[in-house]
Amino acid sequence: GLPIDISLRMLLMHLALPKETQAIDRFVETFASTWAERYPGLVNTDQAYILAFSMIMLHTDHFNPSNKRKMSREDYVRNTRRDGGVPDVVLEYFYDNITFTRFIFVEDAVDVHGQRSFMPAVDISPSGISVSPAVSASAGGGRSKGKKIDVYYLIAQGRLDPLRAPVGAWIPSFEPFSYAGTNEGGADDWVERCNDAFAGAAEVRVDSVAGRSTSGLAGLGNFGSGGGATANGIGTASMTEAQDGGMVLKLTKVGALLRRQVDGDGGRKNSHKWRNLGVALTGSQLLFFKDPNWIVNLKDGADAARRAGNQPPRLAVFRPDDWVSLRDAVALFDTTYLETEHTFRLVLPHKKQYLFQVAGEDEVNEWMALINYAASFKTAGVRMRSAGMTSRQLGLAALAAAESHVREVRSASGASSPAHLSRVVSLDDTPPTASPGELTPVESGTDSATAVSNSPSLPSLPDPADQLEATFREIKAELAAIRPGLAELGLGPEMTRSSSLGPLTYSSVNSSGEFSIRKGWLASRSEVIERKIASVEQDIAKLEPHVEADLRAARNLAMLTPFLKSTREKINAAVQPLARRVTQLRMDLARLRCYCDVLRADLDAEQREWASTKQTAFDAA
Amino acid sequence: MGLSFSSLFNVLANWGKEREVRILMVGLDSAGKTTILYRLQIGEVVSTIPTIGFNVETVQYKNIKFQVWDLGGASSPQCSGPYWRCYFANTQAIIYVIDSSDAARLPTSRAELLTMLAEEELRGVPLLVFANKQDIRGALKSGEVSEQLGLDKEKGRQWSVRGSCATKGEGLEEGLDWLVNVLQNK
Repeated sequence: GLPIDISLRMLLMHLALPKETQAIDRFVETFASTWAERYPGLVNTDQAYILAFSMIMLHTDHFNPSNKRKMSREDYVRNTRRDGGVPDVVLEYFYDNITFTRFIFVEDAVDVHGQRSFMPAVDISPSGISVSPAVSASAGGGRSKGKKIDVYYLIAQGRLDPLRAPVGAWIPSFEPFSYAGTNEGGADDWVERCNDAFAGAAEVRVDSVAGRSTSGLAGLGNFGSGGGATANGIGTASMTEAQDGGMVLKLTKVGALLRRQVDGDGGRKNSHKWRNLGVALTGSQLLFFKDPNWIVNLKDGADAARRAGNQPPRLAVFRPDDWVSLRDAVALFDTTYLETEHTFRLVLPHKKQYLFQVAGEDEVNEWMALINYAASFKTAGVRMRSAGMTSRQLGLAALAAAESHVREVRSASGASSPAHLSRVVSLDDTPPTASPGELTPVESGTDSATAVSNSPSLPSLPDPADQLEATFREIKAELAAIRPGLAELGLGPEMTRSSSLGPLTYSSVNSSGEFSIRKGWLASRSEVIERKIASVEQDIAKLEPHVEADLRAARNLAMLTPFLKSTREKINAAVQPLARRVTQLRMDLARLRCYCDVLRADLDAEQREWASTKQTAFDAA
Repeated sequence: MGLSFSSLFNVLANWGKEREVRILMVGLDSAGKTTILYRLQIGEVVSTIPTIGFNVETVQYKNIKFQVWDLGGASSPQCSGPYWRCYFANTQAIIYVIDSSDAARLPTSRAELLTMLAEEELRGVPLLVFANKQDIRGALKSGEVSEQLGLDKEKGRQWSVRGSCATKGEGLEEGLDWLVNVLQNK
């Protein structure tokens, strides 16, 4: 499109501007509304009117010989500036372009092609203004060295484009960032796969706290302060206390990657080099190792041990060289980044960024999905769905529950036996972090469930074994509820279901509260996630208008066709901070949308999974 | 016919150096602004191609130059009004032209005038009102126009309402006479 000043200039070439102010006013009004309609989303009609009016004022002021005291650029900007209106740099551009050369009215002859010839204009143009196409054509397309460009020649030739500042290169008009990698709208089951990847991650046992505290790395000894800034040590989220006092570390994904730090202003220029590092993703952190092979070998060993049914590898010392928390982090694919292939961007708080170069497109997508999954839960302060409960375990729990239910119904005997659960747990290949014999009593878990429902996040969740038992019990309860005839015989609590396999809304009339763990855990977790989603959506709604406003400013800047190099340089200078702000806002928005979508998808997946688990149990019973 | 300012000559001669004053000429459409402008300017017809834009004319008398901006009352003053401001700052006088024969639009004209006078930059700037078109039958006399404008409330500003007939050049000299006196004494 053409900027207002050029549009006006072109219109005045063919339409004689009236002399009377009232007539000028109507002329400008019509021009402004037409322009604003033709280029929507740039300026509104009032702004276009003000700008066009101001340009005719300025033109009169500058070129009318009767006017002796000329407006300076500063005067013009001050007089035309309005609250929330056009940025100063644009007003300066208008001043420069309008005063560059006067408006001319062309008494034109239309040639056979319907094109207007500029030859006659030479005769009527005021002295000193060259409108001869021959002169400017010989001077390199109208941009002669050291000489004024011939504006009217460029307009006639439609060659204004080279005058523009390259705004689009700095502020793409499209959304460059995607948290979903290169396969946006890809596989449906990514949430399940992410959850399984974390739940079933290979484990490594790290022996002593002493080993860590003597590692000499500041912060590494700082266990127990969960997550947060990168200054924190490997928090409890990455490691869980094992029964012998050591720690269990889950390595969800490991690889030898190229990593490069990026200067925080989103700039493409930076002095950091690519470094080949071992990278390990835990539930909430990325750990970096100078020796890429070491961590890869460790993971291979852990995987092999798991396959063979052996104990996970034991390490005396586990010492990453560097690590970052995934809280408030997001992995983004930047479609405008073309320097290296298969590269994604990890955006961290405090404008810290890394680029990661991986082996292929699938790797990009897998790393990104897993990082973003972990980051979403870490940031929301919610545990992953069933850390410690893979879908296989859930299925087993369902079967065990069904079996137990049926037997209880038959025998009409008392309490359910934890033996079934022990069986379920021991059926799993991986030794659980707590042994079956150490199942936390249900009653004590009730307290934590109560505490959970009162707090915004889930500080203390039942451990996986609790979850398993709770799942087991709830499925049984459901079975009892859905088969009333049997329930009378069994011991299941009376529960009213809102709908079959529907949302998990029960009202327990059992005074013991025995079954409230799983229910409480599920319900309060869903509530917490819903609240998180709502709050993230609010943040998104707050950011969106800012991005919109900045992008509109960028579109306006991109349209301008400065006649002077100095004007163009000023526009370029104004684009830089705008570009940085837009990039940051876009990354923030992509991050929030990522959290929102991941949490939402996870809620949906949880409901699907719960429904199918119950179905398994019902079918079995 | 031109305006002979012989009566002012002695006064102006005392000014010593050439002086330029900027004057805004304002008023509703068809009040007679442009006619007045060219009446004042006769004798100095310029042969150059006029600059595209608003009418700005220089009217020179010996060592005083009037730059007269012909600015109508815009149809949407809330928009265009502010664009006069850039000129208000350096304005020494306002000439406001009223069509005395158009009583129906006098309230509109009055409103435009008062809006403009309220501008901070125009505080204390002398105001000359031409109650124009006195030759038309039924036109309000300058006294009636003055009354309807209600300029009595204008404090701290010198003002005068003069009857004129721009097509015949009547009353213009007297009006400018007053203005020059005011400017000279400022």
